[in-house]
Amino acid sequence: MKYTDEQIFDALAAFLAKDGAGAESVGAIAPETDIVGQGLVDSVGIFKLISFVEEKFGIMIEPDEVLLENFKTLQALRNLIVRKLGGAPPGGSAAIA
Amino acid sequence: MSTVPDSCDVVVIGGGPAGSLAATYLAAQGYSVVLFERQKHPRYNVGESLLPDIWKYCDAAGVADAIVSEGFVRKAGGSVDWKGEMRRLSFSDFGYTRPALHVERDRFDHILLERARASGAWIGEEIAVLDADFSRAEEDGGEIPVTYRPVGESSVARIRCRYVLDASGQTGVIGRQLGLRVFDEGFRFMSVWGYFDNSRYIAGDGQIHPATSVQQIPPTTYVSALPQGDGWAWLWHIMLRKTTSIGLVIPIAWAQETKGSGESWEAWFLKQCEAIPLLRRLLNDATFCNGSVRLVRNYSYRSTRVAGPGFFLLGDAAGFVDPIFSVGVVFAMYSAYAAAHTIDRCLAQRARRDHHRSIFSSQMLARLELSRSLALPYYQDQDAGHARAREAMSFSSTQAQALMYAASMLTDRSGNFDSMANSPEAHRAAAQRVRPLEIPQR
Repeated sequence: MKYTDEQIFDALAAFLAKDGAGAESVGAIAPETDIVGQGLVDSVGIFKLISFVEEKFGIMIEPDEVLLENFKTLQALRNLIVRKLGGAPPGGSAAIA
Repeated sequence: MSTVPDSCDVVVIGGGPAGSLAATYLAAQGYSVVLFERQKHPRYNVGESLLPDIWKYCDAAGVADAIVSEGFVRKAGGSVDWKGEMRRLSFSDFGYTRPALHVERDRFDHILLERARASGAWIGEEIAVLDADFSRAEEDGGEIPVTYRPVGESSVARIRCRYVLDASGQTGVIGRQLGLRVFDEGFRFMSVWGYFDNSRYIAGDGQIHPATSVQQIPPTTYVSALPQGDGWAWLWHIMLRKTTSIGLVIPIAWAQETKGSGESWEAWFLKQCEAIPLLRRLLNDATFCNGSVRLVRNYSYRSTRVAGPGFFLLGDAAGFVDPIFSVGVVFAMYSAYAAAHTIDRCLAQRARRDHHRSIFSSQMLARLELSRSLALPYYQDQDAGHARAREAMSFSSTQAQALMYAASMLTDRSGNFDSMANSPEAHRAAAQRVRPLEIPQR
C-alpha cells in the first residue's frame, strides 16, 4: 500500500488531535511541530501511538526504533513509516493480525 | 464473598496502585480480571508523597473525582536543605495545574482498589498467591495455572488464566519465583521511618506553619541531606491530615556504626531526628507516635526481565531505587497502563505478542534505568543502561524535564541529570524556577 505524505500527516494529526495529551491547547499540528516537547506524546502516549502507526500502516516498529529522532515530529514519523514500507517485501503488507 | 472463579483472562497479584489500576484498565476493556491481595484493605503502606503526574492515570481509570473528594493534603512543592543550601520549588511554576498530594496510603490505595472492583474486576483479599506455572503460557489453548491460598487456611487452590500481572511490590512473587531480581550492591542503604503528631511544617510560601493549617496553607515536602553518607543520605518530612511521616535514608554501614548495642531502632531514630536543627525546630511541640517506627534494608533492586511469556512485572515488583524523587507511585501507575495496553494488544494480535511484549520491556527497563540514573550515586561509573535512560528521558515533555532537573539540582544530583537530558530549554527553565528558601529565624 502506498501513501502520500499528505495522507500520512493527516492520519497522524487526526490521531493526535483525538488521543494526544492536551491536544486542545496545542492547536493545529504541523509536520514540524515538536509533539514530544509540547507534551502531546509522552512516555505513556507512545504506546498508543506505536500501536496506531503499526496497525494503520501495516508495519512493525522495533523497540530500538522507539527513539526521539523517529517520533519528535510528524515529519520524523513519516520518514520512519516510509522507510519501513519501502523495506517490506513487494505487495506484502506486514499485517499478520 | 463469592467463590474464586476457576478461570479468567488476567490474574493480578497485589492490590496496591499498580495492581488496582491495571485491573481497572483491563476490566474496563472487557477482560475478566481476578485480583488477589494478601492483606485486607485499608492496610498500611509507606510512600505518601505523590507527584502531579498521577492525574493522567487516575483520569484514565475514572478515579480522579473519588481522590479529589477524599480531601487529601495538597502539596505545593518541595523545600530542600542540602548541605546548608536552602532552596525550594513549586509545581505551579512548572505549569502543573493539578496538585501534588500527601496521602495516607491506606485510604488512597483503598480508593483505587474499590475502583477496580466497581470496574468489574473480581477482588480477593486475604489471599496469597504462591506461584504460577508458565510452562504452557501463550501456547494455543495454553493456560497458566496460578496457585493461591487464602490467609489462615492450609489448603491451596488453582485458577487458570492467560496472563499474570505481578504487582506484589517488594514481595515480588513472580520475579522471585523466576529469579529475575538483582539487588544493587552499589547502594547499600536502608530506610527507617516513623510518625509524629502536631509537627509544624514549611509551606509553599517558605514560612513555617502549625499542623492545624495544613488544609488551608499547602505544605511542601521537606527534604534534607544528612551529614553522613557522602551526600546520598537524606530525610523526608511529609505532612498528612493527622500525622507527619518522617523518614531517614542512610547507608546501612553508618546505621550499624552509630546504633548502640541494645539500643532500639526507635531510640536511634529519635536521636537522629533531634540532631537536625531545622527538623528539631519543626518537631518542637510534636508528639512521637509510639510504636510507629519501621525499617527496610537493601531495598534497591531491579529485574533482569520485566516480562516474558504469560507475565508482566509492575511497579515495585519490577524495580525500586531511592524514593527521593517520589516517583514510586507514578511508576506503578505507568507500568499498569503499559501492561494493560500490551495485554490488550497481545490478546488481539496473538501472532505479534512477542513484538508487543518487547516494546513493553524496552520502555519499562528504560524508565527504571532513568530512575536509577537520577537517584543512585556514582551512576556514571556503571553506565551500561545509560543510552536507554537517555531515551526514556527524551520522551518527557520540556515541562517534565525541567521539573526533574530542578529536583535534581536541589539535591545535588544534577551531575547525573546533565548526562541524561537533551533539552537546554528544560535546563534554563529549571534554573529560573528554583528559588532560595529563607526560613525566618522565629
